[in-house]
Amino acid sequence: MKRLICKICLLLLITSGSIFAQKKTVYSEAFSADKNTTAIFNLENTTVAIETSTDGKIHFDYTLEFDGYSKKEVEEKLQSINVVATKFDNHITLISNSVTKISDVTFAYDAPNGLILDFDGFQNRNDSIVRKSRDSIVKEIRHNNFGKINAPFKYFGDRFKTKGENGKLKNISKGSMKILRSQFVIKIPPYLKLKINGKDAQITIREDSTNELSVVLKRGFLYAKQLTNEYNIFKIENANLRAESIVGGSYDFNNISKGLIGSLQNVKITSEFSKIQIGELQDKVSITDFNSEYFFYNWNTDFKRFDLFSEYSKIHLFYPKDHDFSLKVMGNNTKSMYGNDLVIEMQPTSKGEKYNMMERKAKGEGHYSGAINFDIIHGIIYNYNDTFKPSKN
Amino acid sequence: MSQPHSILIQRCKKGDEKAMMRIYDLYSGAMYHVACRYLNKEDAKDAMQESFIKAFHKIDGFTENFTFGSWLKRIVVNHSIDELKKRRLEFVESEITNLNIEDDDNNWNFDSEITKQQILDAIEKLPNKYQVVVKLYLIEGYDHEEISSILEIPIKTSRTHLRRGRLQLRDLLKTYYNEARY
Amino acid sequence: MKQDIRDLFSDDDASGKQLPDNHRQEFYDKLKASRPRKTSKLNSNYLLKVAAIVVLFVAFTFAMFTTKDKISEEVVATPMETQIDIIEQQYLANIDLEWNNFISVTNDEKLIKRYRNKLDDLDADYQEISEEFKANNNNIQVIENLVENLKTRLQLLKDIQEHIKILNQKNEQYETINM
Repeated sequence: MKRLICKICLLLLITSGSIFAQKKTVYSEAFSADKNTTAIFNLENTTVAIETSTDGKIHFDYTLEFDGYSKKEVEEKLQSINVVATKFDNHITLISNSVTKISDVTFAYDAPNGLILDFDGFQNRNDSIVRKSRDSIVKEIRHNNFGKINAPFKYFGDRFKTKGENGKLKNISKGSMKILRSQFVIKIPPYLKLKINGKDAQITIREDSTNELSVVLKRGFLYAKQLTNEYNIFKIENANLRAESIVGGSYDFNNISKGLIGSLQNVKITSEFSKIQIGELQDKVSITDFNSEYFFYNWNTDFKRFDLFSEYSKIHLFYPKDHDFSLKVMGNNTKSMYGNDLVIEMQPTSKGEKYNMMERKAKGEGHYSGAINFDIIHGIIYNYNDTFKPSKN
Repeated sequence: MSQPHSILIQRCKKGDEKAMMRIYDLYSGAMYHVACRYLNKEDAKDAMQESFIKAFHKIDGFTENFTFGSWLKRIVVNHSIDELKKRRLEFVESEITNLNIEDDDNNWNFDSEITKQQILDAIEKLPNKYQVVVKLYLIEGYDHEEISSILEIPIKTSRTHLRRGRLQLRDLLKTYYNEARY
Repeated sequence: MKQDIRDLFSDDDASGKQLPDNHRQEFYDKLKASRPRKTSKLNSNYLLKVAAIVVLFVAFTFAMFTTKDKISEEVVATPMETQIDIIEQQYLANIDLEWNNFISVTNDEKLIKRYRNKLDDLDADYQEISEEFKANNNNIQVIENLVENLKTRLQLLKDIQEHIKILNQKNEQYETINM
């Protein structure tokens, strides 16, 4: 076995020229930007981190680190990437695309015995449902460094195997792997108005942002710290979103498989087919949804009012702790579950018109934090940790 | 009764078709009998079999809180009533006029000489609205909450129908009884 | 002498009614027909394992990643592509099955239309990712995207059926408060 591996390594060494880890600059450029400068980034197959610049300029710095690639392969790779930024009329345009997908870490295999998908590695774990604090959501968002894969080789090894001598599945040895690490950082001044068009793009906004952002993203992910600007417009589709805090703006979510938001304030959300966990709901939040699964974990002391309009949604509602609140559920054909023992059925009416299904009035004692309003059709509400006991009819 | 079935039921939850057939063998007779109270023989057989299929479909939701038999019976009754509704129109909810306060407070005491079969025959003569409620109450042993859930009528209506059914039953049996004597 | 006739019925005897002779076979047929076909019960795990076992190939050509070897660059269905093909076929068959199951349990035209649109949208995505895969068939992330897309489509259909099932459930064992 050892001999075989050695042979192959040797073979690779001989036939494919010199192999070494190499850092290459793909693009490096800076542009001055004033309060009226606008910018567009068109990102495809690219991974990007956005930070704040303090010198009134936009900086683009893109480097690649090659590990296990031959000189020729490095050249080919660099050829296949296209990055260019131009400034015209106080407007900066960045185009960054690549023939092949470049992630934070990209793997290419050289598996002598073929590569086999080992599906166990693809499976997701299912957490049990308990109330999460806003801080724990934020922690979860930060945990894997905004999506950076901490142990890339293990990540890969969990999902792909090769065939060993005895015909059984075998882990792939590091020696046969090519690893490409990408580091593309864009620094923007805090006053820049920025539009991002992303496709298969991995975007991380590493610092709190007050920029006016308009982001369209299809496939990939967006990770952010705090996004604050009432003019923000985000449209995220078939991708993933994690943000520590969102203040202001309107957001459109379509098929976000695991959305994590630390807190929401003054936001209008339109969503469908998504799964989103929200650490804390603050004031002025409204959600219009179709067929998503939402987790509303906590409520701010003065959230005042929350509106949900939904169809075919699953709502996990954790009642506000410590403060008084009111809940009004109107709609049609919805089930409200309390643990395993109690279901309130809000039956469909023959014509399907909405009616006042369920109401929990404020108790009148202690601080009143706000009114939760659900307008919900064909929905399922899971209620957690509740002291609410409906009166028997 | 549920103890020996525990294993069978666990197997059913796992989709074991052999276990399902065993359950069918154990209960099909009794469930057929139940369905026959509401439907004719052919329809009752179909309804009974469809009820089993429905039951197996949702067997994951069955917990040992209830005996399996009563859980199954409920499904059979529900399904039979659904089928009955398709065939007969008189289940549209009627306006409830003010109830007269009757002296007859749910009195089910009848003459001892009246046989069960006579009562069953008399029930068959009741108008459909009352007949179903009487059957669910008297024969199946459901209370008004359960009846209201099965028939999807308000509890008040259920009480009214039962009362009127009971009173008509008395009338029918009185004449029958009287006729039998002479 | 009076009797409370409710007592007459407390004993639920089931005599007198006889089921026709072939009822057991009839039920068996109905049961079989109602059970989901074995293929749809396959979870992704099983699908992939099947794919994994099925495909293998020659070692050497793959080890060489040099341009000088033009012959090995010829487009032949590489094993990874074959593996993906098999997985794709299995998933698409299941997605089809689940789609049919889905439309049979709901009458909501709007819901069906929205699902149709979403699935078409994901299908279009899949075509795009497939193109990328053709260009670069050894990129792990691309392969993952392909599989994720298929998984998502299947899961969406399963989830909505589950949702509808819960909504339609008549609560035999729950305490129900109708409002």
